Amino acid sequence: MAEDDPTSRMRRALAQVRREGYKVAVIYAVVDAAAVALLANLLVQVLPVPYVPERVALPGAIVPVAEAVGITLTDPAVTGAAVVALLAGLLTVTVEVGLRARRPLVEQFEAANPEVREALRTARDAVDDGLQSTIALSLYEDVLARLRETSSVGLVRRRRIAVTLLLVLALSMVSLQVAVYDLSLANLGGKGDQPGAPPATEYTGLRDGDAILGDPTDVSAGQEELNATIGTSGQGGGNASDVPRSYETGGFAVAGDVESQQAGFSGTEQLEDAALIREYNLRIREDSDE
Amino acid sequence: MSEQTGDVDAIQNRLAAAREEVAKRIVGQKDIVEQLFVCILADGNALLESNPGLGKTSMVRTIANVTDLDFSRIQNTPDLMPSDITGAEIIRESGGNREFVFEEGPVFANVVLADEINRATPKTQAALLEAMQEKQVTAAGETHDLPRPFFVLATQNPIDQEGTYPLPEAQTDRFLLKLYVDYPSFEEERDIVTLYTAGSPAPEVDRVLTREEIREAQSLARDVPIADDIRDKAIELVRLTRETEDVQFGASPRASMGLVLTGKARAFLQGRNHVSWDDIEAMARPVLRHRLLLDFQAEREGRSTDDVVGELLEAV
Repeated sequence: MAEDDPTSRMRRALAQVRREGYKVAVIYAVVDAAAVALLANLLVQVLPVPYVPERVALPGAIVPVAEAVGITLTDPAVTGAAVVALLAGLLTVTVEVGLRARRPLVEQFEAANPEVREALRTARDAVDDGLQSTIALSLYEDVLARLRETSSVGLVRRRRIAVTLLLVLALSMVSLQVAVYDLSLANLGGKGDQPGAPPATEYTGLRDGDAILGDPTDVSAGQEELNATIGTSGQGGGNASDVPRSYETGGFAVAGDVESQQAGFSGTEQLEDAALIREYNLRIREDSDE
Repeated sequence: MSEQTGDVDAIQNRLAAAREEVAKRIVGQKDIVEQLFVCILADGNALLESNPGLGKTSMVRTIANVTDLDFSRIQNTPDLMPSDITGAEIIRESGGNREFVFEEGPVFANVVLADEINRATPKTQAALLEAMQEKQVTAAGETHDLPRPFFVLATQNPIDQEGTYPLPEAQTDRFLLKLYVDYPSFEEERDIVTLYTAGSPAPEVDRVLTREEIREAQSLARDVPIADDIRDKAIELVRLTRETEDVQFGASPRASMGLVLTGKARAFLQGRNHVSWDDIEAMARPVLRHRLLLDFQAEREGRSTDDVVGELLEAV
């Protein structure tokens, strides 16, 4: 049988129709698998799933392969959620392609192209029966001509694909939020535990500083002696550094632009508050002495 | 387009031309004319039931005229003998010698119109039906083949049933189709009166189809592919006639073959190269209506075999 006779071309056309059917099945399966994988990843991250490890080490053979393509893996491991997502996606692809391929692919094409349905079905059966009569060859020629005007686009339900892609997008956004804020429902219901809240503490008042610091010890002199000049905001004159004064008697009188780091000061314009802060510090010490 | 495909198109075009020629002389009755052509292409015979004066003879004669087929008409009467149909041996004298020579009867034609077959005796009916089935006649121990193509159109009158011999079901089953000819519409009857009461008695028709082309068309029609599911549905339809409650006796496998063959012939006649379910639906009633025997309940309710076939078409 010559390769270009109508029967051979009809067989090739039918094979092409079946391949189109497989392509459509793969499209549906991939889109659905993406949604399932994202959903599985999200659920594993948010909900307490038993028997799923935090991290799964990658096989050692992957490290040299990754380095060969310029990727340096400092920690060759992936999260358990990613592994679950990958497995769920692969399972979805396999099952969905298998289920969609169970229905004869040529019949699916016929349903999507009703104008050629009866002729294509008849030609398919005639080819299977090996019919070579004049009228059968005429049928093959006719169907081949009409198949050139048909399309397998009709096999794809675009609305369904669009909805699934929107779902994938939504799941992607939610997954990103979960990853950024490290949301988890794993410890939901514990005492004082709230997601994102600081750990609970028990405050019982100021603690004894001596107990914390321990016994005073003599320290050796510093390696350097520095002379510092601290300006004031108008109280008195002279060189403040020549007259050592204690903090209790007069506090620190500083000139304009020395940036004090006591009690949260941030600017010289707030230096007048130093007196207030000194007073509070004294009170704190009196309380601790008592 | 290959040469073979071109031959198919040429034959189909000639069949379409033949139908147009018939339409010049026969007003309306398009479904009946189509079914007659289907019967010819399927190499079958048809039983036509209609009241007198509805153009049955004209229709069949016109079909013969648009082709080069021989036409003969047999008017059945109670005194008609089988040999009047099939022929008989007669003594012929030539050159002083006498010999028996078989004189062919009117059945030796391509298109035979057997009018009022229910008026002939069962013996005469059997002779015609045997010739119709076997496509040959045996006389005096010799077998004579009938010409090909061979097509019998037998008619029955639904009125004037007194003194008639209704065909038994086993005999009617030999007819591929049973056709009902109804009265024409007002517009059609007006056209008939206008056509046949003015000018020449009958419009001329051209001969556009030869017997060889008809034989080729019959061969091509048998080769028209049919999808497996359509074929199985047709068979299921016939089987349902044996199982439905309204039918006392259902159709035989001969009906299954007839339904598929006529479906192929109709598809070919309409210029297609595959059988559609519409073809099976269109031919279901003509193929099955004379093969079903309704039970008493259905007859009492006034239901016809066409009604039952219609219900089965929806159920299949």
